[in-house]
Amino acid sequence: MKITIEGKVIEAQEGASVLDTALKEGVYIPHICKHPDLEAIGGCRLCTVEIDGIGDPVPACKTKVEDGMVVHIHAPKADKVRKMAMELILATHPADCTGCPKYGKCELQSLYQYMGVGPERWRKKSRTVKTDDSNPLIQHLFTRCIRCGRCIRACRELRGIKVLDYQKTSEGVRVGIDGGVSLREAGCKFCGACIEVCPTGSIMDAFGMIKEDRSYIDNMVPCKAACPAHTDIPRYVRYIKEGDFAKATAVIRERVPFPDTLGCICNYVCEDNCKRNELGKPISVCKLKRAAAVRDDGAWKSKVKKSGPTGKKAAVVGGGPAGLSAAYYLAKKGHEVTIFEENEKAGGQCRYGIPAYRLPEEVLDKEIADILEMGVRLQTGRKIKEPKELLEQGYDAVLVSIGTHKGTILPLEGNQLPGVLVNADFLKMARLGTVKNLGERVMVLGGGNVAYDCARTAVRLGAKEVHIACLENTQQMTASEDEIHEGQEEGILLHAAHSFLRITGETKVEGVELQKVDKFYFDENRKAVIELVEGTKEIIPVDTVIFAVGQKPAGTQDMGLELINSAYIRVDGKTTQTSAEGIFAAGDVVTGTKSVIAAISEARRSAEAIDRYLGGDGDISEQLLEEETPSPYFGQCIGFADLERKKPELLEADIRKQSFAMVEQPFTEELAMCEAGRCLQCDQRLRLTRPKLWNEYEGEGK
Amino acid sequence: MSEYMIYNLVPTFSEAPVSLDLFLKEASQVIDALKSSKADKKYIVYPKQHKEMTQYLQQAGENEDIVYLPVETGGAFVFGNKTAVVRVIQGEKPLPTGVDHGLPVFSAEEFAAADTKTVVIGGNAKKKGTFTFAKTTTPRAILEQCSSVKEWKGMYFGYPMGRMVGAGQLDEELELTTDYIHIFDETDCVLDQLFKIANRYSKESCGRCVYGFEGVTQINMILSDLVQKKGKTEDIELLLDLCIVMETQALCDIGASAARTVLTALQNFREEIEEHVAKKNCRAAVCARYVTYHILADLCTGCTDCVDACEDDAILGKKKFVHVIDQDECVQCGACMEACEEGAIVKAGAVKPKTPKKPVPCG
Repeated sequence: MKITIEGKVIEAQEGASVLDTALKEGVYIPHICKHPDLEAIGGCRLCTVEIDGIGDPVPACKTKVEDGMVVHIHAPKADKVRKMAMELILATHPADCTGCPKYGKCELQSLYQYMGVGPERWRKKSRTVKTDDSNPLIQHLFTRCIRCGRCIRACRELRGIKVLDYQKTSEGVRVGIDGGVSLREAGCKFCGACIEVCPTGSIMDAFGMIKEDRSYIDNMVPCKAACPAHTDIPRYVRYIKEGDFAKATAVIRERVPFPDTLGCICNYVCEDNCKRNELGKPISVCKLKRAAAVRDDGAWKSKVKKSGPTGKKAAVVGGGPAGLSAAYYLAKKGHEVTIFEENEKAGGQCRYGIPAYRLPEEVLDKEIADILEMGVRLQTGRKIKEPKELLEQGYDAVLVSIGTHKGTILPLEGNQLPGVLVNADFLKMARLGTVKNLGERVMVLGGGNVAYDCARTAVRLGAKEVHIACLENTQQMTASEDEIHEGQEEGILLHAAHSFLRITGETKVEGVELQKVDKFYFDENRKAVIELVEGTKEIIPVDTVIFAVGQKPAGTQDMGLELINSAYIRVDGKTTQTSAEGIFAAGDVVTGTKSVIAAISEARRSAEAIDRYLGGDGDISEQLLEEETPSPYFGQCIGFADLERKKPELLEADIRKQSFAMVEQPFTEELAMCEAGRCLQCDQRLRLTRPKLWNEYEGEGK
Repeated sequence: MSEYMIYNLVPTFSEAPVSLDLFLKEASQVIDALKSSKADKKYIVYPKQHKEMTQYLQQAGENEDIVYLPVETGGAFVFGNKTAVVRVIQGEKPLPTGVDHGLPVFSAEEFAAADTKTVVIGGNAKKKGTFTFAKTTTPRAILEQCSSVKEWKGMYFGYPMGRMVGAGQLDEELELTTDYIHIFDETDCVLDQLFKIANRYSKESCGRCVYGFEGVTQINMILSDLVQKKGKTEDIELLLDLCIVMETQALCDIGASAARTVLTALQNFREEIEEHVAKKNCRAAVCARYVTYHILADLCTGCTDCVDACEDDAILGKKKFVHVIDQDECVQCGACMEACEEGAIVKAGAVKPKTPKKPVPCG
C-alpha cells in the first residue's frame, strides 16, 4: 500500500505504524518514548501527526498505516501538541545539560535542539532523586529521568527479567525496583539493556566501566576485547549454555586453531575483564572452552574453506603455537607451507615447556594433526640456522617463530655447580623422560606459573621435598591462584618474599641461602628495589636448584636479523616483517615469553601480512557457523547475580603426585551448561538497535 | 468467544466501592452468572484489604472455576481503565496502555447490563451516601435527591467523567459513568475544590505519558500558585491552553478526565476563579491566603487565649483589653479562631468588619 507523508508518497507495509513506515523510508518524525526494539506506547506525544479525515492529531507510533492515508508532520495542530509535550518534559528536567554524563549523546538534548523549544512559559520543578551508585555495573541517576519507560519495557517485555517498573512515591511516579531492594536482590541479570535504551543520562554504566581508550564495542564486551585473538566468548558461551558444544567449538575455531589446548592452558585474560567480576567471580571461560572442545564432533571441518593453489611457497621456522597457527592460515590461503621444527615433534612450548599433567600429548597431537590436514608439511629435526637460506632455496617468504627456549640463569654464587638446572631444559627433559639424579630435595627459584610447572614436575619425578622461593609476596606473584593452591595441595613449600643469596656447596649443590624480603618493588626507572629483613638468613639444604626466572630465544644472534635486547627479533609493528625482506617473525621470539593465545594472535597478524606479501588479500577471517540471532528474552532468575562459579573436578592430590596424568577433568556437560548460564551476555546489548537521531536523516541534516 | 473475562471489583474511588457493594449483595447469583459465561478463563479482581470481601471469601470460599486476584489497593483510578485491569492478570502493575472499552473487563453494573448507575455522593450534600439513578439523567434530578447543606453552588462528577457542573447545566442530560459525585454549596470555593481534585489526580497519575503526568503536575503547580495568591492573570489562559490539548492527548482517560475537570470548572466558574487573581478575593472565604481574621470588639472578653494560640505573635493586647490582629504579621492559620471560646474571631473575604486599630479596654 502507499501512504503520503509530508507530500511524499511512500510504500507502506500493512500492519506497520505510521512512525516506523516514515522512519524506514527516511522521513523523520520526532519521537522519544518509541525505541526500534520496543513496543510503542504513545506516551511522549512527540511523534504527533495530523491525518486527513481524523479530527484530533494522533501519535504516529500507535497509528497503523492505511492505504491512501495522508499524513502531515509539520501542521499547526500537530506542531502544537508536539511542542507543548516537549515543553512539559523540559519543565521538570534538569537544565544543566553540560553537567550530565550523557551530554552530547543524549536523545532528549538532540531533540529539543531540533525542535527549538524551551520550558519558559511553564512552572519549573526538578524532581530530585538521589543518585544510586550502590549497584554493580549499573548507575541510576533518576533525577534526569523523563519517564519514557524504555528501560522498563526493555527489562520487562524484551528481556523478561522484570526488575524495573514504575514506582509510586510521594514525589510522583518514577522508575525503580519493587520493594526498593537492590538490583542484585531483585534478580537483575545486569544485561545492560536498560542502559542501552535510556535516551537520557538516567541509567548509565557504573563509574569506571567505560574506558576512554577502548572502543564502544570493546567496552561493551570486554572479555572479547581482552582476548588477544578476540574469540567471540559470549557467543560460544551461549552455545555451551544451550548444550551445543560442537557449535561452541566452531565459534572458537573461527579465531584460533587450538581450542582444546587453550582450554587446558590459556592464561585467560578474558576472565580478568569479565563484567561478572563486579558481581563476584568471573565466568570460567577457559574451562568452558575445554568443555566445548572435548565434545567437538568436527562439524566445523565441512565449513573450512581452502583457496586454490597460489604457487607460492612459505617456510615456517619453529613449529610452536605461533608457527603452527601461521602455517594453518597460510595453507588455507593456498600457499604451499613447510614447517621446519628443530625438535622431534611439533608443539613448541606447548609440548616441551608445559608439563603433561596440564596439557596431555594427545590433545596437542590431535590439534596439530588438524592443522597438517590442511596441507601443511612438517619437517622435524630440522634446525634452520639462517632463515635467508630458505629464501635462497626457493621459498617466497619465511616466518621465524622459534619461541623462547633458553632458560635464564641468574648471576648467583654457585650457579655453575652440578645440580643447577634451568626451567626450559628441565621441563623438556621431563617430557622426554631424561631427567636424572634429581635428588630428594629440589628448590625452584621464581614465582610464576613456570616455577610451579617445574616444582610440580619435580614432585611427579619423585622428589620428596620441593621448595619454591621468590622475591614477590603471594599477592605480587604472577603464578595463578589455582597453581599456588594446587601446588600447596601437592606439598610444595612456598617461600614467598624471599631473596636467594647464593647456592651453597663445594662440588655440587648442597643448599640455597635465603633471606626474607621486607619490600620489593620497581622504582620510577623500573629498577627492582629489594629491602631485606636483617637476621633472617637461612640455608635450606637441597640437592637440585631449578631456575625459573624467565626464558629467552635461542640462536637468534646467528640469524642475520636485527634484534632487540640482543635476543628478540625486531619486526615492523604493522607487517611483522623483520629487517630482512621476505622474512617475518611472530610469537615469543618477538614479544618475549607471553602466552599461547598471544602467540596465536600474533601469528594471525603475521599470516595476514605474509599473504598480502605473497599477493593475497590478507583476509584470513573465516565463518565456521551460520550467524544465528540469539533470543533477546532472558527470563527471570532470582539470585542470578549470586550464582557461584563452578569448578571442574581435580584428581586427588595424592593420586596426581604419582604421575603426569591430567590434573583437571573437563567440566561435565551439566556443570558446563550451568556455568555458561552465569554469563551476563554483554554482547546482547550490542544487538539492540541504536535509534537514529534527526540529523542522520536526509534533509534534516544541520 | 473471548479467551478470558474479568469481573472487576476494585473501586476507582476508595470512598465509593460501588461494584463491591453490589457484588456482595447478590454474590451467589453473580458467581453463577460468571460460571455460565462463555469465557475460557474467568477472573475476579478485588481489593485485598477490603473487610467485607475478605469475610465473604472466608465464608463462601473461592469458586474453582474462577481465578481470584487480590490487588494491594483500596481503590485507584487506573482500575476504571480496562487496559490497565487486563495487565493485572498478566502479573503486571495496572498501567493503562490507552483507552479500550471493548476489552472483556466488567464492573458489577456492566456485567449485569444495568440501565441504572449507583453512585456515592459526598461533599456538602444534605443527604450523603449511596444513591441509584437512571444511567442517563440530569444534575437536577441528582440534586433533588441529595440537596445541599447550604445554597447549592455546583457539583463535580468524578473520574472518568471529570465534569464541574454549575447552575447553567442543571438540566443538561448526561450519562452517568462515575462512582462518585461531590456537591458544593456556597461555603465551598471552586478554586480550592479544583486544587484538591487536581491533587488527587496527581496521586492517581500512572506516570506513563507526558500529558497525563506532566500535565497534571503543571495543573497542580498553577492552581497551587492561584490558591497561594501567587497567580498571574495569564495563568488562566495557560491552564486552558494546556487542558484543551491534554484532554485529547493524554494516553488514557485519567489525564483526559483531569483536563476536562479544569476546563469545565473554567467554563462554568471562571468568574469566581479569576476573582482570586483580579480582585485578590476568595468569595467563599476559604482560600486561606485571601482571607483575613478579625476580632469583634463587642464579643472579645480580653482573655488572651488567642494571643497565646498565635504562633506568629500577630495579636496585640493584654488582659481585659479587646485584642487586635496585626494584619501584616498574620499568616491566616486560623489558630486564634479555634482558640476563642467567645466566637469573637471571624474570617472575612472581600468585606471586612469594623474593628479597633489598637487594643482598647473591654466593655
